[in-house]
Amino acid sequence: MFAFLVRRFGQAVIVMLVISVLSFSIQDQLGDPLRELLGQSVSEEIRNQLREEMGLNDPFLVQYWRFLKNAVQGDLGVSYFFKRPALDVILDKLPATIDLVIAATFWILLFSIPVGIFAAIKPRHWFSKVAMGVSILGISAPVFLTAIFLIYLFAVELGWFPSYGRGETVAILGKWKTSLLTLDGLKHILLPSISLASVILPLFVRMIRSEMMETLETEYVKFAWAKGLPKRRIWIVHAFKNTLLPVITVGGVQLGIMVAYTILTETVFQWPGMGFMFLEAIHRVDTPLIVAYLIIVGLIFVVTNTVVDIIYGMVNPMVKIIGQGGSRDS
Amino acid sequence: MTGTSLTIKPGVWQRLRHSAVYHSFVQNRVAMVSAAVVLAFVVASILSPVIAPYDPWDQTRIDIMDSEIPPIGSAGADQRFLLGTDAMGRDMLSTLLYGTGISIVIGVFATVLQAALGISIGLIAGYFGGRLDSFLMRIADIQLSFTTLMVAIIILALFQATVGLSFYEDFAIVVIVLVIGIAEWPQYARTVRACVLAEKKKEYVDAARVIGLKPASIIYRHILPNTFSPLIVISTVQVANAIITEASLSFLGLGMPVTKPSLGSMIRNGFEFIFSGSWWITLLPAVVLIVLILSINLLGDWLRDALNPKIYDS
Repeated sequence: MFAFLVRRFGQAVIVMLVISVLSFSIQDQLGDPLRELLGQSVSEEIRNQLREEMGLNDPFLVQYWRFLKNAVQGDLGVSYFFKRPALDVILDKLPATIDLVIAATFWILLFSIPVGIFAAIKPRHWFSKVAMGVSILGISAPVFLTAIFLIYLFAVELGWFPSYGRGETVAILGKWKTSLLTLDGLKHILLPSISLASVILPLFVRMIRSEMMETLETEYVKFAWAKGLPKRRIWIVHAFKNTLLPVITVGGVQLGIMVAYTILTETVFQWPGMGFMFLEAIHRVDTPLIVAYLIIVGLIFVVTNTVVDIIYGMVNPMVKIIGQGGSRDS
Repeated sequence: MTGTSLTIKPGVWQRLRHSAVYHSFVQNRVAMVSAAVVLAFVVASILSPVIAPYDPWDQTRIDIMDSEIPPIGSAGADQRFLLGTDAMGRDMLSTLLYGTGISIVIGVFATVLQAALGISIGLIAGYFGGRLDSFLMRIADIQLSFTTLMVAIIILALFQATVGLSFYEDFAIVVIVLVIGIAEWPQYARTVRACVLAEKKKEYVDAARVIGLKPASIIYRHILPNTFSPLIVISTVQVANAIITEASLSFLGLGMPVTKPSLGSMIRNGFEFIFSGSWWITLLPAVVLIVLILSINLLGDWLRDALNPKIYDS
C-alpha cells in the first residue's frame, strides 16, 4: 500500500513537472515581457541592459529553474492586464467556477442515480425509453448550444431568469464569495449549472444503467432472488451498492473534465469565473495569466486523478495494488 | 492490407446480405433513418460546390447590403436566398452546405488519425506487454485525464497567438485535425490493447507463431482483424465527438475562421444577433449540427447492439 501511494505521488509530481516545462516554454515563446513593461519607446541599449538584469538572456534551464522556484512559492508572475499577481487574479475567479461545478454536480447526483437505477430495473418501461432518448439527445447537443437554448427560452422569451453574471454573493471564509446562499445568486446560477450538467448527466445515466444491468445478471443477485429477498433490498443493497465502484472512479475523472467545459458555459453566460477569464487572457495575450491558469488547472486535474486512483485502489479489493498498469483493465 | 481486401471482395455483398448485422439494420427503423440522414449530409456536402447557389468562401461576391435577410416564408424575405443570409450577407444555404462539409471532414480525418495512432500503440502495448505496455498505458491514462477540449483550446489559442491571422485562416483546419487526432488516441489504444490481450491467448495465434510468422505479420494479419467490431463502434462515437469538439472550438473563436466557417463558427457569428431577432443565423446551423451528431450517435448505438462487441474499457 505504501509503495503504491509513493508511486502515485511520484507520478503526479512528474506530470506536474511536465506541465510546468510546457507552460514555461509557452511563456518563453509568447509575447515579450519587456515590451509589456516598457512600451515601444525605450532605446535598444537600455532594453538589452534590462534583459541582462532580468535574466532573460540566461539559458533555458536556468530560467526554467528560476520559474519553478517561484512557482512552488506561489509566485506565478504578474498579469499584464490586471497589473496584479496572476495567482491572486485566479484565486479571485476560482470561487465562481467552483460554485458552478458544485451546482452542476448537485443536478448530476440528484437525477443520474434514480433515473439510471430505474432504467436498469425496468428497461421496457416508457419512462426508461424516454430517459434513454433524452440522454442521447443530451450527449449529441454541444454544451454551448444547450446554453444558448436555455438563455433564449428562459431569459429572453420567458424572462424568468437572468442571462448573465453571478448576481448577489455572500462572503464565507473571508474573501471566498459564493452565490449559492442568496436567492438572487441561485437564480443566476440555475441556467449555467443546468447547461454544464447537461454534458455529463446523460453519460452518468447511461453508465449507471449499464453497470446496474450487468450487476443484475450476476450469480449473487440471482441467488438473492432465489432466497426470496424483497425487491428493494436486492436492487439497492445487492445490486446498486456494487455498481457504485466504477461509477465513483469514472465520476471522479468526469468532475475534473467539467473544469474544461466551464470555459464554454462561462463564456455563454459571461460567468465571472476562471474559464471566462482564461479566454479573455488568450485574446489579450496576457501570457503570465495564461501560464498561471494552465498550472492551476493542471494541478486540479492531477490532484483529482491521483485522489480517485488512490480511493479506487483502497476501496476495490480486486485491484492488485503492487502490479501497476494492469490494474484498470478487466 | 490491400492484398487481403482484394481476395475477399468478390463475395462481399453476398456475405453482407446474409449477415446478422444486415438483418438487424433492416429491422431497425431508427438505424435506417439515421444512416439515411448521415448519408444525405455527406452527399450534400460532397456535392456542395455543385448544388450550392453561391460560393460562400468568395469574399468578392458577398454584398453587405444583403445581410440579415430572413428565410423564405417570413416577412422581408428575398427570393434569391432560400434560407436567408447571415450578418455578412452570405447565403445561408450555401454556407450551411460548405460548413457541414468542413465539420464532417474534420470529424472523419481527426478520427482516422486517432485510429492510426491508437491502433498501432494499442497493438504494440498489447502484444509485447511488460514494461513497455505499462509505460504506454500510463501515458494513455494521463493523456485521457486532460480532456481533448482543454488541450485543443490551449494549443489552438497558442497557435493563433503565435502565427499571423492569414496563416491561421489557411491552416486552421489542419491544426484542428492534428490536435483532435493526437489528443484522443488513448480511446483506440486502450480498446485495441484489451482486445489483443484477449486474442493473444487463443490458439490461432499460437499456431501462427509455431509456423514461424514474424510478430508484425501476426499482429496485422491475424490479431488486428479480430479487433474490428469494437473499433467500428468506437469510430462512430469518435467522429461525433470530434465534430462536437470542433464546433465548441469554433464557437470560442479558436476553430475555423469566419471566412471559412464550420457549423460551430456559424453559430458563433449568429449568437450576437439572436437577441435582435435574427434567429435563423444561429438556429439553422444549430439544427444541422444536432441532427448530424444525433444521427451518428444513434447509428453508433445500433452498431453497439448489433455487433455486440466487448467494449472493454469505457
